[in-house]
Amino acid sequence: MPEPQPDMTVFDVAARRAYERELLAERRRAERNATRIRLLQEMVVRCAAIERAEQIRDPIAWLGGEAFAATRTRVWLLHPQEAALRPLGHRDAHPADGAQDPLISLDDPGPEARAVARLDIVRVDGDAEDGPRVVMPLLAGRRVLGVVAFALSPGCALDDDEIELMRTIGRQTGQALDRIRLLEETTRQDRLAGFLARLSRDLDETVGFTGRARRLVELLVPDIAAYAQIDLDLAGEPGWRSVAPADGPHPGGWTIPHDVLAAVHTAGRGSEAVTAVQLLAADGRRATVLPLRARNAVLGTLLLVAADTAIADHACPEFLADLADRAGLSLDNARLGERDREVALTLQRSLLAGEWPADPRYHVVTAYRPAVHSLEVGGDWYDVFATSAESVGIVVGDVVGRGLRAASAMGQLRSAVRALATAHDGPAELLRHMDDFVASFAAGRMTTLAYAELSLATGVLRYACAGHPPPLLVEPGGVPSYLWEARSGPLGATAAGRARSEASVRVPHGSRLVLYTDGLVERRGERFRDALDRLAALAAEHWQTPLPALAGRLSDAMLPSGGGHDDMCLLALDYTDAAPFRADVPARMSALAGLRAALDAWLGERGVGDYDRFGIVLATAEAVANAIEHGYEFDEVRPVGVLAQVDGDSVAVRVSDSGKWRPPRVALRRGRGLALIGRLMDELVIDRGTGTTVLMRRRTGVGRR
Amino acid sequence: MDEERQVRVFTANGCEVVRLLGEIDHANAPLVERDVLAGVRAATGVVVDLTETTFLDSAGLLCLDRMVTAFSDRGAPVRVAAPTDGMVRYTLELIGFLPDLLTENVETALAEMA
Repeated sequence: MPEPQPDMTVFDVAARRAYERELLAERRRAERNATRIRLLQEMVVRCAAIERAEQIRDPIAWLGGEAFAATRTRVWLLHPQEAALRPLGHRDAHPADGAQDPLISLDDPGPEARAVARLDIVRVDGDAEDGPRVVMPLLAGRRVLGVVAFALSPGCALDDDEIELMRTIGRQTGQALDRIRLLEETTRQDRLAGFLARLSRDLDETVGFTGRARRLVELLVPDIAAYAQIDLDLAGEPGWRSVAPADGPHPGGWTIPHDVLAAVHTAGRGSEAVTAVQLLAADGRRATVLPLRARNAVLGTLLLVAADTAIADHACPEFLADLADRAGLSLDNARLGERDREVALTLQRSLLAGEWPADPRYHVVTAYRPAVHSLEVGGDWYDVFATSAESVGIVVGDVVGRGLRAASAMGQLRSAVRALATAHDGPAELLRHMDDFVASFAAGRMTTLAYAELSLATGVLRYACAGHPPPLLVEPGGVPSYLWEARSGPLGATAAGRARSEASVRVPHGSRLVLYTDGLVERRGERFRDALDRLAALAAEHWQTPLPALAGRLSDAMLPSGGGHDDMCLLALDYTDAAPFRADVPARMSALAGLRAALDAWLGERGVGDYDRFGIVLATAEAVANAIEHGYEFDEVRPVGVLAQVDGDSVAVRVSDSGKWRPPRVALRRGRGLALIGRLMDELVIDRGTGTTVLMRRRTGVGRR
Repeated sequence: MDEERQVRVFTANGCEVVRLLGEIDHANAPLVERDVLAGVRAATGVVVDLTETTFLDSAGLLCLDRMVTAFSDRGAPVRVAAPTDGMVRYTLELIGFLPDLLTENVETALAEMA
């Protein structure tokens, strides 16, 4: 506007007034525009701080109100997939209009779609009630990213400057939005990649086929989907389903119509990227269905109802396809793993379920605990066998690796140890032959084992360890010691060479041997030597614990409460306590009480239960009383011999006298005594030769009275 | 063992209670039997109280059998009190000793005879 030149122009008063008014209006407009430009700059600054496209609404609405006194500002963004405008939520002077605006198609005749098509402002004239509206496109160059609509007060007129200013707002906002979009895209890629990585890792850590499927739906809700459902086709079984959230708005899940299912399966059988199939239920619910595929087969379907979250907003079809493929592969791996595991478990069970030799001179107990958190069985084994009529061999070993291969290798090694130990003499010889054996049997290489052979007559124990933790010996009284001699490398290890040696130690009757695999003594956060010390202390503490209970006690105490991270097997052998109870009872009835007390205490020390103890003591006392009364005729000089021995799960008692058998004078007495013995003992043999010997046996711990 | 301390006889509810203490076996059964038969009149009713008897062998059983027979012969109703969980009851049941006479304790025995 050119400055007026008063000295060159003469005005009358009215014209002068009009001119002054014009000048004033001009100045006000200029001031207003200057203010608006400041406001615009302020808005640009505010936009620069925004990280998500949805947040663009607030600065625009603020500007609309401040600069144009707009009564309402609405923002739509161009839909990423569909040819439509998507409204952003509104917070304005009309909270009652809470209902979400619908999508506006780009073919819509309304001003919003027209503004997109024209790349320019569309004005809608107001009437007496509604003010005019201005819809401006948000432009980045020639690209439309959305539109903004200002609703103005009724009667408000807009001049060209104001329209131009609004164009500027559209461009500035568009540029800001473009920057935000770029930022969002980068963040989205990071987020989705992060999500997929977490998903894969989490699934890998979940055990089992159906376990993984259940975990998968849990992981997808709520980040990716408001509702997730997996339907699996388990061979020969009706559909298996898992949903999340379980208490969600779709109880029982969705039934996927046949045509959708067929389309999903077709999509899944191709080798190219899968495409999701949209499912629109009769009641208006929308969902996306994806095939879960692996190795050219479709395992089942994944159904998702979109979530209203940032990450879900950006979950594009490629992402969902990637997600479904990863999930499918993970599930398939779990399925194959389970099948192998089943076979390996069966094999392992059949191999470990041994019938141990029955020999009263020793007793054996074994325990096997699989690793927790592992799908695959390990290659740990134990075995007990007679190497001759007078000796027993025990072995505990650990095959390298897990799964079917390890389980079958374990079976072969176990057979080899049995055969070779019986055919050759001693542990060192056995290890040499085992080295030869694994030379042609790759799966057995690097196996570790502890082998020991006990001479039942002499108590001499010969042993050797091939890369295996040392056997533990607990002598009577609870004195523990590790057998540290005769150590060499694992089977077939070149470093081990052929320097196999053996050591021998004489173990007293009543000793206990514990062989185990490293799963028992390898605990995270504990040093190996500390674990060995702990095991020794435990075994010493439990030296009187009967063998059947021992294995469980040791395993429970050594392993973490949730189970070990490796397989564990344990074998304990008791070299029968051959120190029996012996008493020479003077042939008088008053000696019975002392005999009963002594025998009762001896049985108690050996862990014999109340009723068993009482029964054995009473029967023994009856037999002794019989001997005193009828055999000796109260001849106090000659004692009655009593010998009792704990033999595995029974107690055997022998009562002998050298007196002359005489028929009882009172039938009732003898009858009652023998009747009692008969009821108290499981076996009763009376041998009357030179003197009388009564042999009795009672099975213990069978829970009867 | 001093036999004096193995037998206690007292009256309750008009019945005689014979309490046998400790172990009754081949060594002392005849003495216990003699003391009991001498000290008990068996006029109204008798309870043989085995609640504090810790052990009973075949001689003890015989002694008990004879006492019960003797009391019955004198015309008195008899009960034998032996707690269900005890080893003495276990012995009695093993041999099938007079199951109709067995009661849990003296109180129930007296109640049964009242």
